Amino acid sequence: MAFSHRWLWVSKKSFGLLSVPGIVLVVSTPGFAAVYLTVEEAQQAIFPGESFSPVSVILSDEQQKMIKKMSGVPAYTKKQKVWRATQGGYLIVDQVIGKHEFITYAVGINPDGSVRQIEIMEYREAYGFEIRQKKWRRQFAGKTNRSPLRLNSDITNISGATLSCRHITEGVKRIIALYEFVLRKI
Amino acid sequence: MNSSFAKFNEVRRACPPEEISGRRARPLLGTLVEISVGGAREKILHAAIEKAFERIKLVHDLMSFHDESSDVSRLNRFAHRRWVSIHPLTFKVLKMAQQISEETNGIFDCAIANHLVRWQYLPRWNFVPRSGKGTFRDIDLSNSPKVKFQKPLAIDLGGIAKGFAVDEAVRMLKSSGVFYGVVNAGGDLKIFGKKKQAVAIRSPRNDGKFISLVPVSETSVATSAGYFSSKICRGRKVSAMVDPRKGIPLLKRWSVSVFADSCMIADALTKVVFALGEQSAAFMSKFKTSALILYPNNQMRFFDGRTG
Repeated sequence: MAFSHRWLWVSKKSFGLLSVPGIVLVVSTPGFAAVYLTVEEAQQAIFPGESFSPVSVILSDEQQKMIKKMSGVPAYTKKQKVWRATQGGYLIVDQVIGKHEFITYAVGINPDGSVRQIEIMEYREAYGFEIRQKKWRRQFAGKTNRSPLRLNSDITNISGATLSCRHITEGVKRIIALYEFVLRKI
Repeated sequence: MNSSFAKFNEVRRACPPEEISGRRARPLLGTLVEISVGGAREKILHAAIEKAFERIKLVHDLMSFHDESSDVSRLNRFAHRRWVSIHPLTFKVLKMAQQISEETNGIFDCAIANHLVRWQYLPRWNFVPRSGKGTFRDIDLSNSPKVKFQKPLAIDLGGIAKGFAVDEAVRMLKSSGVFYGVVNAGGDLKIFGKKKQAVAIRSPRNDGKFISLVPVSETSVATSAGYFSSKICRGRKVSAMVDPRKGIPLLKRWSVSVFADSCMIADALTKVVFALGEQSAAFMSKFKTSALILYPNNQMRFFDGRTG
């Protein structure tokens, strides 16, 4: 091709030569994290102006089986974080764990059982060597509130091949089943 | 290096990431879509974010391959037999997809869904032809807003709709009074407004490392790479990146990023650079885009087709 000579070799030495966008450096940070919403913020984002009361949900083995049957997704935890909104809607906070990503998200369910809105509350990404560390894993246990994160807070905009959100899709299916078998009957 | 690095730090100090005052993410378009905005009162920002997500949801509902009632699914099911009427937005994307296909001689082609179904990247609808003989040339768009396929084929707008949705969301944000921000649909992102922002690109090895770029404003970046998608399907290595001319998966371990004004153009052209490598320079100039190729051996090449 006629213009191929215009491709530049980029190495750390030639950083200064590049115009926009110039490449700066290879950042060897092992993970990425973003906190979008606390529980309260998620409540107000999904059901503006309403107030919430916590609902204690502990699934029986039978209920877990039913949820798996209906959604095709196993219910990992017996305890589920659920709030009831004044107008009759429900807010469920759940977590999914993918290959590299840990996602806390909130699902709002309308009084008629339809999904009102899904909001990501927290997103973290980690790679093999960290995931194997107990300490790293422990920070995700039962975590829903805003937590101080020092991970890579500089990196806000990542461009990369698309990571699928299949795990969230599955999680939402499971939550719809949870509503049908448990919350609707309360 | 030093001057550029100093500038990078200076800009970063001037506008730390915390200054972005509204940041939300939702699962849409098969990935996580993040919107960060600033430069207006909080109430305006939240209303604007809501409107932008609504727009993205519309694009998602119209152009999802996974949803049986989307325009894309209706086209794949009926368009080889009769004219199918679709939403003006879907028509617009198809029209632009066809133009890009024409200008790149079919190296970008949205009529590749049959391969992606065969390799189990897309659901196996019974209406998708097993061997799609048609290409973008067989998509008849002469009867707007109706579409007909002249041969049995199946389209997937996955290589272009995300970029289009980002462009649309940014348009919504701007018209709602937002001064600056970023819309990032799982890696295809657009930065708008005067405020400069840093962008990081994942290392092609997918080891959690990033390559940072000097903060930029008013640009779109899209990246394609095999690291999240390549897998073994029926004993054969496959990838979500297809060479439409041969119908084979592209198994390179590169990461390709394209910079353009329009995120849709950036999104579509990553497939062209991924397929052609450094041979794609002429196309970069034609579309006024720049490209950065990261090789797994940590080498990089940059082509500037925007300023020439």
